[in-house]
Amino acid sequence: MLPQGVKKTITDNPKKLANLIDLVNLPSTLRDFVGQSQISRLGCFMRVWSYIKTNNLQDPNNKNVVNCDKKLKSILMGKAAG
Amino acid sequence: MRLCLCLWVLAFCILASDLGALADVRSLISKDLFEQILKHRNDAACQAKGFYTYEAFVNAANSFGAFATTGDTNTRKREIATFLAQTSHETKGGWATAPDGPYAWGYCFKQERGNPPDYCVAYQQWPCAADAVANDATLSFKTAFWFWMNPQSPKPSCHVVITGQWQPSTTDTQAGRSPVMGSPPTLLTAAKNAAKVPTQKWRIGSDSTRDNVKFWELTLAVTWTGLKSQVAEQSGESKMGKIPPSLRSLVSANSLIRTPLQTEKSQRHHFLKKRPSRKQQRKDSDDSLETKRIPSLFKSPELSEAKELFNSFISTKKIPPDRPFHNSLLQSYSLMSTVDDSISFLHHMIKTNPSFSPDHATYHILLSLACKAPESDLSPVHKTLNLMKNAGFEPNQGTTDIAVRSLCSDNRVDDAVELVKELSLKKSPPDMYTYNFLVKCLCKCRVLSTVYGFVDEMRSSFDIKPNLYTYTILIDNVCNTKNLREATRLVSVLNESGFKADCFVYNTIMKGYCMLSKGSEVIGVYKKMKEEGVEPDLVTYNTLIFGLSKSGRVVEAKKYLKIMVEAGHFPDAVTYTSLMNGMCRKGDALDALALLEEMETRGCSPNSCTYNTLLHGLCKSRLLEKGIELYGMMKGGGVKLETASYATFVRALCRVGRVAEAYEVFDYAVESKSLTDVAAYTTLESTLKWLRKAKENGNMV
Repeated sequence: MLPQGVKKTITDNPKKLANLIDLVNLPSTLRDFVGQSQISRLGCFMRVWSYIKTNNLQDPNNKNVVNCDKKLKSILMGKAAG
Repeated sequence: MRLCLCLWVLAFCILASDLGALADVRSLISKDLFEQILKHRNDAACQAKGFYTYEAFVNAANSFGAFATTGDTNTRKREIATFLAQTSHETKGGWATAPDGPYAWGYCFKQERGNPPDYCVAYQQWPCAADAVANDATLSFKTAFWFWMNPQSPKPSCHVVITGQWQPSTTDTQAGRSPVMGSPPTLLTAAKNAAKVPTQKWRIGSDSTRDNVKFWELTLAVTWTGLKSQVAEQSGESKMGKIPPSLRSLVSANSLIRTPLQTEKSQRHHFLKKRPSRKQQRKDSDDSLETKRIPSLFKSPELSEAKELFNSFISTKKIPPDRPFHNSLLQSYSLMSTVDDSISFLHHMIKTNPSFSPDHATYHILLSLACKAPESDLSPVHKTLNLMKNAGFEPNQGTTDIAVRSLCSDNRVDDAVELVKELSLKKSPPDMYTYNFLVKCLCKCRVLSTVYGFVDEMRSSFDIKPNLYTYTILIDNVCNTKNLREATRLVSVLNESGFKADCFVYNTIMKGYCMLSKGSEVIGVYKKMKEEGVEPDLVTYNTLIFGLSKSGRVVEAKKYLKIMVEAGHFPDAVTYTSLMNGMCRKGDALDALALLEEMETRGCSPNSCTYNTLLHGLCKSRLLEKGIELYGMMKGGGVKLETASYATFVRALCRVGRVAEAYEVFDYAVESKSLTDVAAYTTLESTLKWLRKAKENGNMV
């Protein structure tokens, strides 16, 4: 079961959680995007996801696909999303 | 779908940024020395043969202005030595018995050894940075320098430590980080301990997702406070024990907590009813304290300032110098000061204002403060008690009660027990309320034999016998530890002692069987109640229906719903939710949905637990459309999601490829504060990982 599994990993392994919420230094490209020099992985995810939402980057035909704009491309290692 | 992939990858592209060049390290470390230190790095056995050159090192070092340019020459040299020692340690190819020792084989490797095949996925446009690093010695050194120079929160950068600019804060000292300056070997350890930043790990910056994980781990020390609260939250949930997740939501929010709570509440109610005026009296004095307390009256715990303030009050005579006023002054001062200071303050008040005579309540303020004092023994408590006696106030039952409650709230149960025994010897034994409270605290945090020992000792030494509530507490405790045999024994002891088991006792036992999913025993308890002539109440029926649903006997549960209505009880949200849960577990999610309508027509409004149970059940029975519909309702009504139903729902959405909707559910869960963002994200991430894995295995459409 998934919820059990997740809970187990978190309680058993605080490192996993730490790896999610720890602050890390960012390279210049990400620094420009995020606007700060350190961020956690979770924070980074939230930042990008909210960026996608505010800029309506989801493909209207298939919501699962994101059409990257220039800024997003620069941080996503240019991997064409979708 | 790729979106998620992108998001995983995105956090990992960390590259060293270019920094301006400044001083030259060549003056500090000559090529000869460099060669000597890293003697074997160009040995034929090394992968990195001819890769790490002196020139590359110098170029890279010069691009980090502050490297080896801080402090005097010795400090600078030391920094270089430590840097080389550290990095060569991490890339060393030597073995313990290698010629010149393992460290002379530093800089032997340039890439992670034994690369796993999926180490780094190269995209056409964007080749792996790992290759770039592995083929460019300057860049390779640069990455190491970057790591060296930049603080890895919360640890300071190696550079700062070595150059002695860093002074440990208290937290650092506690974490074992201290700047040890000295010979290079100690320094190396110091650097390692202080920063724990093996340069090796830096490869990640460029390598691959795989290694990035390590990178994150590396900086893991972070906000332990935040982490702790997370863990605490999680462990709070894990207290629910082995209740299946489908039930957990129900159990946590409703039945189980509710059942014992109601029991407890009613018991407390009993207690309160029988509570003598003493309690009431104390309450009154407490209330008067509350009303008169001025929170920001005392600005500092300084005794002299407090005295001055008091003197100014007395001289202005604006405030009635009656006893509650003095007590409240003492109370508010005691909140921020120590026992000794508070006692001195009291003496000062008595001396300055002779019309004020302290009473029991005054000393009780001091006593509760003394119980919370940081000392590990009972000396402050004894001090206060002696003070009280000298003032002519013998400790009474209220005194015992206050001391016990304060000590227990501070998790000092053993001290409380000791104090109770002591006070009992001094002819102020605890009353039944204090006694039961203490038994309850003992049950919570000590093994059963300790509790029994205490009960026995109180009985034999001070003739304090357990009453019905004591037994109920004990039974509840053993039921929670699933020791039903002991519970049965206690019931017989209870009968022998001349008490008659009441509704609460039966409810408690029934709850115990519910937790073990023993349907027939639950019915057995119900029948026994009927035999003994104890009238079951709403909690009994709810527990009964919950237990039957849990053990999969939904038909019987429905039967008891009818009986319950006939007996004149109104089934509430708990009853219906238990029943729905049973149906969902059997796979009749549609029936459960029908029950929701029935419930609403009967004027019983569903709570968040009901919705969550249903959502969970619908998703489990692959009725996703209905689930989405229900989710819409929940969202409209602002109902919070629970962990289990959230996870199931997200999983169901992802399974049919509606990842974007799953993201929206994630947003809602975080926005509505149903889950912490960490919990919500962990679930989402593992779901997506699972999905990708399933896709790779070709199990998905």
